[in-house]
Amino acid sequence: MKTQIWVPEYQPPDTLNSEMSRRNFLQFGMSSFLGLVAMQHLRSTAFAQMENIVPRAKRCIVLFMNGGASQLDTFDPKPGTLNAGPFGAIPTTAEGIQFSQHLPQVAEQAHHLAVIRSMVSREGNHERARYLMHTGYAPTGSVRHPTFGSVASHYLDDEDSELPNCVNINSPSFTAGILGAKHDPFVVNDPRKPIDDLKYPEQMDRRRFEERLKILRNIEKDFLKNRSGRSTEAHQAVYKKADKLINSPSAKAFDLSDEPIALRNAYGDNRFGQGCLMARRLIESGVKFVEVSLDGWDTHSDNFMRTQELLKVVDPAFAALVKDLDDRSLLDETIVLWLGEFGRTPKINENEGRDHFPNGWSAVIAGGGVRGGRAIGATSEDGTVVLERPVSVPDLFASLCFALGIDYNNQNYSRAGRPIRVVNNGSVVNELFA
Amino acid sequence: MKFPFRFPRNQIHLTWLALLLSFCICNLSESRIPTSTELVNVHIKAKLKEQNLEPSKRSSDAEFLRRVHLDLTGKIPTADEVLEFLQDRSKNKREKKIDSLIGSEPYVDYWTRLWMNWLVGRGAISVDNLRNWVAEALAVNMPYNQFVTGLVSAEGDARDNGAIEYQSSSNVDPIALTSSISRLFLGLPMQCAQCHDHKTEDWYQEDFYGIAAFFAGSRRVNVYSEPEPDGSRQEISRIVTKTNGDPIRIPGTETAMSPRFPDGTSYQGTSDLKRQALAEWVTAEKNPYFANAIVNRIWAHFMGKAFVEPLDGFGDEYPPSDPELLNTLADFFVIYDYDLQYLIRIILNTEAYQRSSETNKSNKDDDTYYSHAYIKPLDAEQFFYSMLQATGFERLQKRWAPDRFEQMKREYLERFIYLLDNGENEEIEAFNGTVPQALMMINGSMVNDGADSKRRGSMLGYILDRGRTPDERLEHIYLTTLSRLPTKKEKVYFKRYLNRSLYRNKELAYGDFYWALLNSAEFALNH
Repeated sequence: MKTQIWVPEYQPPDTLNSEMSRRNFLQFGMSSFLGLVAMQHLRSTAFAQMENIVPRAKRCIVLFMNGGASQLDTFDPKPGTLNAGPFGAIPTTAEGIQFSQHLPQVAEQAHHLAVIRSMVSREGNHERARYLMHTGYAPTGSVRHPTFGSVASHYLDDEDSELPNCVNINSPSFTAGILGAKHDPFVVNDPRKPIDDLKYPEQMDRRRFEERLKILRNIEKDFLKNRSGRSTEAHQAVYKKADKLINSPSAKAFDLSDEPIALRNAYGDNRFGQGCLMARRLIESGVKFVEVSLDGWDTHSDNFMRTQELLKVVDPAFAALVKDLDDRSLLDETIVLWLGEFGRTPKINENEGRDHFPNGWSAVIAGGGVRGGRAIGATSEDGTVVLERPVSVPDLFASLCFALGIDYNNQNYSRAGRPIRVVNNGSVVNELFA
Repeated sequence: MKFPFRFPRNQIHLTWLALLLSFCICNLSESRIPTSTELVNVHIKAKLKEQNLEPSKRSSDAEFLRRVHLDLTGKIPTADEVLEFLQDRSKNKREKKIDSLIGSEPYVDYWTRLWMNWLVGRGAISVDNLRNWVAEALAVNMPYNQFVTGLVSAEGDARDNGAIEYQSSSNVDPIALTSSISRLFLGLPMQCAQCHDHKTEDWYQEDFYGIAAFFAGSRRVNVYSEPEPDGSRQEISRIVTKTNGDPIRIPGTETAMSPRFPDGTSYQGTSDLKRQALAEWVTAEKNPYFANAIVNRIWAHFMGKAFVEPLDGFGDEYPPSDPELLNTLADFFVIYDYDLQYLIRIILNTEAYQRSSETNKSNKDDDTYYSHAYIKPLDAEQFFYSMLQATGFERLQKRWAPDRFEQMKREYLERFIYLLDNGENEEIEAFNGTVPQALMMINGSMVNDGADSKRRGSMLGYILDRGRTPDERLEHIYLTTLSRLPTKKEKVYFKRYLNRSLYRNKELAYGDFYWALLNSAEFALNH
């Protein structure tokens, strides 16, 4: 059992009768008591508005727009301005909030969505920004920070689950780093194809496999004894996980053929749409974190043609996912996050493109207790500056942690013994919940 | 001055020369160990003492041989190669082995693959001429400064000069080439300056676009070869440069950049010679980044830990873990005329490289001072080639059409290596220690066929046929998979295992055992 210390700021004592906090209280005895003292102290202060907020999310789906999606052409349109480009804006089910004209289906779900229009970071290089966006940290030379899916896997771990805790669809992500290979994302290359090697070959059955595993344990014991950082246990753990998966009835979650054709089509008959559908099946079967990615957003040239094509994929998939989760009463416990590693320049370049822009861009959150139908933060008329409520990547991570009931001040240790917080220098975006 | 020539390589430090000379005199014997190796040994030893770290013992011959094969040729040695090496009684057999592998055909094959990944990425198409050019350069051990000059300044058409495909594969895109040159040849993360001045380093957009301007006005055209006897014609890339190249504009500004070196001086010559001038600047002896970047990369390949990480992280943000050693090695590299094979020879002969990966109490947490050999997981490609060899399918594959083999390799690699969609030829490898890898190892056909002695061409079948006693067979099995002989304890365990096995058909028992060895951490790690 991992040590979890509750976030004092957002957990006033009178919510302790909720199941979530009772569990935490029992787990941590003394530290919670200290937390209580802190909470009493803070209660009367600025945090009063968060008083009755109890984290409700139990799992998380991230839709990652690899390459960086243009905020002006999606969730922060600036119709009629010089930087708007050819796309118009349409009203949504959220009063006073407009989306791009190419997101008509998502606009129908806007009452579930909170749009953060004031994301800011300092990383304008793909690799570094992707790292930041997945780990909450800018890359440093030595420490391998865990990707957020692995953090979720670590803290929400269900030891009995036969499925991996954390799955990446369409592209691999970063690793679990200091949290250990056990929490590495399981990668699904193409959701439309069966998982490779998920069945025993001819001549093999579970008994024979166990026999083989026994030999393996014996022959590698001596080798691993004096090799630092490697253990027989870690190696065996991966094999055991693989074996559990092979023999699990839950592995059917990876098979989309059970889904009605109409629903499959609603998500969109493409890799991303089917990935979103698989994400829903996986979280239904107990997976804690799923990331589905869509490539092609690095639109330095022909931004509008390319973005329009991409939105034809995103619009039905994102909308169908939110609606489907809601229909199944899963949305309240599932946090869905849409974003890329940064936004794109408001100014249109000479190739009809938009370049990298980390200074003010959009992220969209739904479900998991997030209050929908609102926009948080704002950019200027021309889109070039954040005017209100800048939200940093660590702030966003802190908010995800809060929603999932993970204390973002928890520390894990690098190999050299350096303590690494789950989130550093971030604080919860209260407006998402209150 | 913007370009931070902080430690210009004006002169090689005199002390080093004196030391080198004295070592040369002491070492007039037959030894093949480069004298510079001794200096590295002395330096690392002093560091370890300072840190109170007890170095691990010297690796065993088998451990050394496996490591050196994986690092130089990308796959494990064969059983015969191991046995021959273990039986060699000569004192300098490790030096001899290093010498015989460096420059060998498997070495050229493997390093050509590495260089192609670094230069144009695994996904590049129409780069066969470049591949041949790189292989040729490695085979004749072309000095590294000439190698880079050849790539950066290449002219003409790809048939005559394969090096042009380094530029034509990106359609001579000034941005992509500037990024590649700065990261790969200089170790500088200048691609960040593409969009904004670098946050922590002295890089400005003007530096980036100043280099990019050297490629402006050059483009790729395709020409057609003379018709072959069957009437077909081949498409050949050629680079043409306009006499007056367009300046390049910094996006979002009105600033137009003409070719300019990052030290601030503008290029004054004619258009047709500008890439030649850039190449000279990149490879100049006084450019401290050029030698340091490649030394850092090569060192990391063999030692499992670079001085500067990431490899393109030179600058204030990631100071080198041991600047003195890095600079010294770079000095040697320059003194010895940018000889890559010599550099490799220096490294492979050091005590640090040849230490065991087994740790002791004092050094088990060290990951900086080279007190023990750092374990490197086999990458997906090393694993693939090693597995092919250990299962015997390599011999079969030689009889296949090359297409079929390439197809199989591509399908296998696609499962574990992902090209990133960011124009930097970057890839992520999700292989070692992951569940998909475990699934492949448990259920995949390559491993299971390899553990099936009845399969045509299977190594296990061959071993069982050939060995007369279980002991003989076991030795052969260990030599083939783990590249060493089994210990006494392992022999005892195996005998007991075989006797207790409930299979009526003992070949199945051998199969399970073979499977377990191929699945062991000892097989999957370069240790």
